[in-house]
Formats: sequence, structure tokens, C-alpha cells
Amino acid sequence: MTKGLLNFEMRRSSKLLFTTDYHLLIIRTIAIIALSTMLIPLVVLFYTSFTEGALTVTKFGLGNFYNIFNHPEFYAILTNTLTLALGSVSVMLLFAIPFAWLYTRTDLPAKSLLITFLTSNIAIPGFTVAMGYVLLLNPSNGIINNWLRQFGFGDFRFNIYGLGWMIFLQGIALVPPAFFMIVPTLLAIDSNMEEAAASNGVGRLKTTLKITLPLVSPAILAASIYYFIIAVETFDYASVLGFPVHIQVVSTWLYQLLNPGNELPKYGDAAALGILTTTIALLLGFAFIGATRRASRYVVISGKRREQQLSKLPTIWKFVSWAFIIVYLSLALILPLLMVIWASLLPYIQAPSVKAMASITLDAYHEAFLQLPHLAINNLIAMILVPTIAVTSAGCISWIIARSKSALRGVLDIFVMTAVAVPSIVSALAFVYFGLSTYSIIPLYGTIGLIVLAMSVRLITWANRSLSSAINQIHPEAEEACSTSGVPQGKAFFYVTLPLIKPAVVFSWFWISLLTLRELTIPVMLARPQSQTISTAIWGFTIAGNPDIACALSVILIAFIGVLLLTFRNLTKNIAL
Amino acid sequence: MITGKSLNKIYRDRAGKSVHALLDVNFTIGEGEFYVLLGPSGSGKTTTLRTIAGLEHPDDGEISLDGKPVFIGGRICIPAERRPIAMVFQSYALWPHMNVFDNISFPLKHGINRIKSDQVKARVLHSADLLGIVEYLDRPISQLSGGQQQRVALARALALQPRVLLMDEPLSNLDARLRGLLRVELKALTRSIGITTIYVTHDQTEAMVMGDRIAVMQSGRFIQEGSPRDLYERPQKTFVAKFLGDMNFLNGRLKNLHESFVEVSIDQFNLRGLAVAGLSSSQISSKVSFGFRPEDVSLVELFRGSNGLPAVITGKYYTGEALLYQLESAGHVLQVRAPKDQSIEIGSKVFMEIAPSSCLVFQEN
Repeated sequence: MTKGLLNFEMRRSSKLLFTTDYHLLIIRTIAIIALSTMLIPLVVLFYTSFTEGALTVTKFGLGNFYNIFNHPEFYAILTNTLTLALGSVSVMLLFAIPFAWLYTRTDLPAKSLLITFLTSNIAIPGFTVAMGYVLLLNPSNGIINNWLRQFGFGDFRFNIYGLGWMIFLQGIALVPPAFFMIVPTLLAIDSNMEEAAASNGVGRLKTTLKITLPLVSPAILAASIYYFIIAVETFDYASVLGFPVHIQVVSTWLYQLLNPGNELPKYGDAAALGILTTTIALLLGFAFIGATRRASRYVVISGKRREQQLSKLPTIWKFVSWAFIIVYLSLALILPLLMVIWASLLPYIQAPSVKAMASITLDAYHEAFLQLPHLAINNLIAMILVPTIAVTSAGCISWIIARSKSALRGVLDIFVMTAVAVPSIVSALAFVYFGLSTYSIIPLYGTIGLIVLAMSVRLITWANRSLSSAINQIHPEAEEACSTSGVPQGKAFFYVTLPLIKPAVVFSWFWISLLTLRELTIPVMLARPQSQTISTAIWGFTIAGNPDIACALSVILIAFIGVLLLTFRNLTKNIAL
Repeated sequence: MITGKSLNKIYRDRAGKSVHALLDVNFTIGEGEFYVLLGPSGSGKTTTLRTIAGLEHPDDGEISLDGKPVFIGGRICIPAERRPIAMVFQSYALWPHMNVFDNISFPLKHGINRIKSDQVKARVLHSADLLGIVEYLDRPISQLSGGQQQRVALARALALQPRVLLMDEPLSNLDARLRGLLRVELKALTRSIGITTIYVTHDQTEAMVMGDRIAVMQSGRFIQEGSPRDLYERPQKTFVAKFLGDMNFLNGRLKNLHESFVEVSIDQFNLRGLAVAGLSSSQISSKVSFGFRPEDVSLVELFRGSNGLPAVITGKYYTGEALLYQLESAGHVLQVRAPKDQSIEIGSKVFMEIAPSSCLVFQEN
């Protein structure tokens, strides 16, 4: 009786921490630490945005916001950013929707290759694509421009620098992830709904427009909003294609506020801009939540997975479709990849010719391999620690959200989902402040540790998406059956839930590991001499005017990611996904 | 040995309206009894079961198991894993990554009531033997049929040797024939072990066949509790009468109250029946419902008895074991089940004869 009383009191007084179930205690502790780590940088950022002056002499006020709004280029930068984001999402949809439809709904031959192609796209980081195109199309010595000059096209030149190419290249880079986001919805639609329309005499086109499209539109909207935010935060294209001609967007502006060359970093201004961007993204984030909720409401997942009716493509359209896919693949992957390889072998950039062949050298690789050891060790640390931290945290958080009965659950759910809206460049900025202000207590600033922390926090929300959907697919009764047979909840998580979501855990771990390798945005904001990664070094060599070494390092990085991707594929083949 | 006292639970629905999942629920279940909670979906039967299990908690009230309090509103709340129960779920809730043996032995090895490791195998074998699944022990769950999975779920529960066995619609995912077989087997099994069982179902036949006692629930309330025969023959509410089997109802007015029966006037006819509790002489000439079951009626051409009504046959259906007639009488559409050799043409005028002891008079709601 007393024991029962005590037990209940403990549950009541602090439902979150006190329990005799030690497994549960571990899960809750991890979740609380992870959630605080997600929260602290935002608090620091918020505080800094209202703090004027240098780090030591400060006063409170709106001065930082005043500086941002009165920056001579404020409206130009805002317009550029919106144009870039809207433009690249449009380009993305232009390819992703047809690809998703071709893959799920047609009898396109060898369509499973599409998955392989789009997956391999992840191997080539955004900044190397941008670099490849600079080598091809820059106005002074781009290979194609040189050809144009040779073959007498007069004064016509391509100019890679500027918003247009930024939009196009960033847009095609977003196609694979958007494709993977839309496909499940298309697969889940019960084709009975379409058959019902067809059997009532509604034509094929009309069915697609009036039935299928409205059913998938929330999913398309959700993907658009999500990648709009990604488009705002991405540093790769805006930096490589915008810096040389002084076309700025929010992400490059933030970078410049922190790395202004010969002035002092403007921490307060950067924080104010970060808060501003986050607020806008947050509003979009809520729209995203709304859209995904609507998407899941539309999708009627019947217990039995029915074979879907596939549209029969006329032969000519099969060719057209594959031509479309191959054009995409060449532009997004093959062309920039070949260019980077070619440039890595030459002391200076030249068009392919006998003369160029003669000057092929491995000097750049020699230099790259000299640099590699101290970069690779940082990459290795990050690619192991980041997915481990992110997946562990996301697993604990999403399980608590899925199974909790307390009122806190809704708040947590919204918090984790809206964390998507904090652009990673802002998140990185927040960790700069966090690192600086806690340096005397924990000297993380300037080490790979801070980069690991920042990337882990950023990717918790990513891991949360796939893990929470995996957890929600487990019937709660599977865990309740543990409780009613005397196995405490926490133990049930380790022995029942975790083994059941293992495929999703493995999948998320590997995917995050790959994302970590190709990430530039967060490391470039946080890297100091001791914490350079391969990606920041590539960027550094590009800025410093050593494209050959940058390209050699890129080729090494791409090869490494490629090998990992293959390992991952072979591994997941054995786990029945 | 299991008691629930004034259990209440309110939750908010999507529109923000508060709904009573449990409304002043009281029960006492005896040692070894097979107790069935019967009701339509949303009536609170599963909530009642889950509060006994400890998977959900009432807002207030008291629950005790085996004489020990496991929930006293605001003071005591023993978590599910510490209650002397085992539960069988509608979805079976087997752990798909373990084989049959591991499913049964996992709680014995890792639960709060774990047993010595050298006894685990014997316990699993004994339980598997009871359910006839010894030969499947090393099979993965995915290779079992629905019926076999249900047996594993039951074996897992019984291996714990709980004081109380809780079952939440355990047979509802099986096909009708298998359900019929398992129903009988389950009842025999629990009786032979002598375990106290609480069984949730929405299937009235299942409730009648299995239950020693049935509680009928509606909108979070216990409407009536009693033996299957009690509930079928002496329902206290029209809801219970309709939920267990079929019943015809005629609108009438209470005419007279006698010691052993009451008189009701329907149109110009007077019929006699038994009064359901609550009817008093102050209600004379107020509206009542006059009910009788389709199988308690005899259809005759010439009316000789004392309790009956003229009717016209409007429909005739062959159900295999009987003939089901649809009739019109006194402005009502009624159903009568007649022996299958008693064939009457549609359109014929007949008399319905019903013994007063088979008729029930309910207060109008």
C-alpha cells in the first residue's frame, strides 16, 4: 500500500524524470538533453540579436535590427533570396513531379534505374556542381565560352555568375530529395479511387487532373515548402556563383557579416538577420505542418496493398521520357563530375585537346593528399558521431512523442517539427555564439566538436521524420502487450520497439552520415584552422584561386561518398526494408 | 475479487466537446468468473478493460484486483506491469521479430514476475501444450495463420499464470467458422484452469455463449448486468433487448397494472405482458413500448388464445433453420420466426399469438 502510494506520488510529482524504470529514465534523459541542445542556441541567438556592440561592451536594444533593415542592399538581398528560393523550387517541381509520376504510375521500361540515378546524385556535393559549371561557363575562360570564341560566335558568352544559373543548378540539385518525398504519397493512393472515376466514364486525363492531382497536391505543397526553406539556407550555389559578382542572398550575407575580412565580425547584426529569417521560415514551417497533415488525411492507406494500375506509355513517349531523364542526369551529375575530374588533372583550366592531354599531371592530387590526413580525421569523426547522436536523440524524442499521453506531447511535436524551419545557416550562426560564449567553460569553439554538435542538432529533425513514421507504424498494442505481461515501458522500447524500427534506424544513420560528408553550410560557418573538413578546404581552395587542388579534393570526396553509397546499398539489401 | 467503484473518465473529442468514456461504472467480479463486457463500439467496454489493466486511468474511482487496491483516484496508481494480470489484444500484439518460443518466454525472462531461467522452458512448453502449439514453437510469427497467432497470444498470457486474464475482442479478426470453434475452446480452457476472465466483445452470440455474467454497456454506462438468460429474457431497457437478439416493439398505452402482469392497449386491442422494473400505477394511460421476440410468436389462422393481434403477411424469407415472416399489424412492421414447414402465402391475414410471459412492457424513454 505504502509502496503503491509512493510510486504514484513519484509519477505525479515529476512524470518526466522520476521512475523506477531505468530504461525509461535513460530514454527521457537523452530526449531532454537533445531538446535542450536544440533550444539553447536559439535562445542565445535571440539574446544576441537584441545585444548591441562588441562582445564585451554591450547594451540592449533594437539597433541590430535597425542596421539590417537600413542596409543599402536589404531589399535587393531579400528579393534575390525570394527569387532564388521560389525559382529553384519551381525548377525542382518541373523535374520531380514528372519523375515521380513516371516511376510510380507508368510502364516506363527499366524505371527502377531512376532510383539508382537519383540516389547517386547525392554523391556529388552542391558546391562541386557549382565549381564544375564555373569551369565550363565562366565568362573569362570557361571551356564552352572559349569554344564559342574559337568557333566565331562573336561576342556571345555564357555567364555562369548570377541568379539565373544559381536558380537552375540549385533547383536540379533538389530534385532527388523531393522525388523521394513525393513518391510514397503516389504509391499510397488507392487506385480504386481512380478506377471508380474511370468506371463512371471519366476520361484518363480528366481523372489525373481532377482526382489524382488534388490527392497528391498536399504532398507536393509540403515538399515545396520544405525545400523552399532548404533553398534559403543553402550556401553552396549562392557562394560560388554569387560572391564573385557581388550578388547576395541571405545565406551569403550572414557569412559575410561573420567573416567581413578586415573588420570585426558583426555578431549582433547577423543574429538579427538570423532571427528575421527564422521567423519567416517558421511561418512557412507552420504551413508545412498543415500541408503534411492534410496530405496524410487524404491518403487512404488500406490494409491490403493493391497493385496499382499503370498507364501504358506510347513508344514515342518512352523515348521522350528517357531522353528527359538523361538530359537531367547529364546536367545534374555527369557534366559537372567530368568537369571536376578534368580540371583536377590540369595545372590550369583548358578545353580538352591534344595540347591539354599533354599537360595532364597529378600534381594537384599530390597536394590534395598532403592536405588530406588532417581534414579526413575531422570528416571521419563527424560522419560517425553526427549520425549516432542525431539518430539516438531522434529515436528517443519521437518515441516519447508517439507514446506519451501527457499534454506536453503536442508542444514537443510542434517544437520538433518547426525546428525544421530554422535554416541551417542560422543554426550554425547560433552555434558560433554558443561556442564563443561558453568557451571558458567548455572549449568546443574551433574544434570539430562544435561542428559535430551543430550538425547533429540540425539533423535530429531530419532523423525524426523517418523514425517517427516508423514508430507510428508499430501498433501501440505491441508495446502495451509488454506492460500487461510485466515488462516495463522502457525495457519494451529496447527489446520490442527498437528491433522493429531497426531498418529505419540503419537507413537514417547511413543517410545522415552521407549528408554529413557533403555538408558545406554548417562547417564553413564554424570551421577554424583545426576544424577544417574536406568540404571547407575545397571551398577555401576555390576562393584562394586554386581550382585544381579544389577539384582534386572534390574527386577524392566524391569517390569516398560513392564507395559509402555502394556499401549502404549492399547493406540495406540484407535488411528487408 | 475484482471490483470497480464509481469509475469516471472524461475525454475531449475533436470538436472539443467532453465525452464520458466511463460514467459511474461499478462492478464486482467473482473468483473464477467469466465476465463479459458487451456493447457497441464507443460504449466504453474497452476503456473499462484498459483501466483494469492499467493501460489507461480513470479520472476518479477505485479499482482493486485480487483484493488489493491498484487504483484509488488521486492516491494510488499501480502501473500495468505491476498488476497481477495478463492481456490478450485484438491485434494479438505478438512481437514480429521474435519466434513463437521467444514471444512466450520474453515476459518470463524480462518481466517483473520473471522466473528462474531453468524453469522458463518448462513453463513455455506447458502453456504451448494447453493451446496445442508445441509444434510451432520455433516458427517466426509471420508464418502463422490468424488462428495460430491468436493461440500464441493466449499461450503468452497464460504462461504468466496471472490472477486475472483480460481479453479485448480476441476473436474479432478471425473468420466466422474459426471464431465459433475457438469460442468454445477458450471457454473450456478458462474454466478448466479456473482463471478469472474479463472479456470484451461487441458480438452478442459470443457474449451469450461464453459469459457466466454479461454487462451491457452504452455511452460509458453499465446498462444492465446479469446472466445471459437474464439479459435475454428479462432485459430492463429496450437497448438491451435490441442489442441481444431481435425484438419487436409496438407503441401502446398502459391500461392496467395487476400483480403479476400489466395490460396495454394497442389500437383497439388489449394485450398482456410482464412489467419491466420501474412501471407504477401512476403511469397508467402513459405511453409504453410493448416488446416480444420474433421466435415467441405463433402464427394462426383462427385466433383462439387470449393474447394476440391480427396481422397481414408482407414478406417471407427462408433462412435455412426457419422461415422469417415480415408482417404488418396495428401500423407497425414486425418480424416473426416460424418453423420452416409452416408456409404461409404473402398477403394472407393471420393472427399472432404470444404468451403473456414472453411479452415485456417498457417505459417509453
